[in-house]
Amino acid sequence: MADHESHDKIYLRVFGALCVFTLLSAIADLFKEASPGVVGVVVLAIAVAKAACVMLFFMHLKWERGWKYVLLAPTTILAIGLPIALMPDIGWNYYHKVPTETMIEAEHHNSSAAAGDQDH
Amino acid sequence: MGLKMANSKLCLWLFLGTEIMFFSALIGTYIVLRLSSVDVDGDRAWPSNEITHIVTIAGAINTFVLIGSSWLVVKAHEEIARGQFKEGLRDLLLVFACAVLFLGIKGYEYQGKWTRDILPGRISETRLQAVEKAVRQIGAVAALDAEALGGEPARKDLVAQYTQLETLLRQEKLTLAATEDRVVSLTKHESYGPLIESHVMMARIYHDRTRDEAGNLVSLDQEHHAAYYIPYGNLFASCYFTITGFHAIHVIVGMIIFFFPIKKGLMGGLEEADAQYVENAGLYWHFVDLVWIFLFPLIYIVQF
Repeated sequence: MADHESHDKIYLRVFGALCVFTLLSAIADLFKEASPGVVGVVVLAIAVAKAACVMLFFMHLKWERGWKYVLLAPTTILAIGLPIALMPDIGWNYYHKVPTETMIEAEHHNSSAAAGDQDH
Repeated sequence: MGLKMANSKLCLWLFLGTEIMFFSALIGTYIVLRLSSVDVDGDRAWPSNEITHIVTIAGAINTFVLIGSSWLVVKAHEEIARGQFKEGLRDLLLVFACAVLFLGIKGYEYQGKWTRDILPGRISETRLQAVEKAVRQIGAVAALDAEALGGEPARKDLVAQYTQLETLLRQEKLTLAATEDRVVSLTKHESYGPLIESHVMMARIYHDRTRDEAGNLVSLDQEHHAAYYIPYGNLFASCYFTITGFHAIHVIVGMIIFFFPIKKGLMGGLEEADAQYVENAGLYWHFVDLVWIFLFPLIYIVQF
């Protein structure tokens, strides 16, 4: 019975912590115009903390045995690896500025002008 | 030999492993696409929350709803395991109610996007597309019968205006500003004005964003212009509806899973052995909560 009561208290504390974390995220949202980068890092860090709370206590991973590492490590590696694998193809090249005809013409014009200067 | 855990729980965890990869593929793709959405200067050009009708407070309330329901599930599991079936049933019913509330709030958000036509494949991404869409929508209203448009003279007037706009568009003489002016004047027509207001997206956005408290039109600034054509708007809508849609489907599946012990409890048949089922259902439900924990900041708050 005492064990059950202690679990109940833990769950209630975790629920309270999750509420506070969510409130902090909502408050951070008010400052996103002023410093979007900082707010982005803060809210994602809060999300990681919340996820850790849910997984450790609500999903009982804190009390589970070693199988949790065998099961979760490959999925975590794949989950992190996917965006990294996509980034070079899509994130870094596809939509980024590519030389347009106008830019190429301007470059050609500049190089011609430079060659002309050298001739003189 | 073997793991000291129920087979059903092991299966559930293996299933959750596949679910982690499924959602990380969706979320990872969203992050990469969002990071790569830049303008001609290489600056970030993902549409802002205001333009895409993202309501942060709605997302925050839904986060509270889901974490509350997660807490109720673990409580219900403990209660059923120790034979407190009445309390367990009460908490399971509350979890079900939380799921309904979550979907209701999501529905409100979807409705906001639906009425503003923020849907995949329907968003104008350039000035020309915005003009073409407005003219097309005016044409759709002009194609209605005379009775709907308030009489034959009104219909003829609207058809004439539409024909003129279409001609100007074909001649590439119709600017966005001129289209905006024409739309505003059409909305003031006493018979078909309300139809233009409700059918032409530009008029609806005018109504939303460009009137003061007294209902008068206010001057248009860049932000308001940006509302008529949303660069990367279709990409946003595709990502938003795919990710939140799949999450909502998981919420519905969770409701189906919880329906069975609730039904059993209402018929007075809950027993301590059902704690295992509730634990497994709870693991699934916590995962649904976990996904939302990341979706909330990534979709509603972060501006990278």
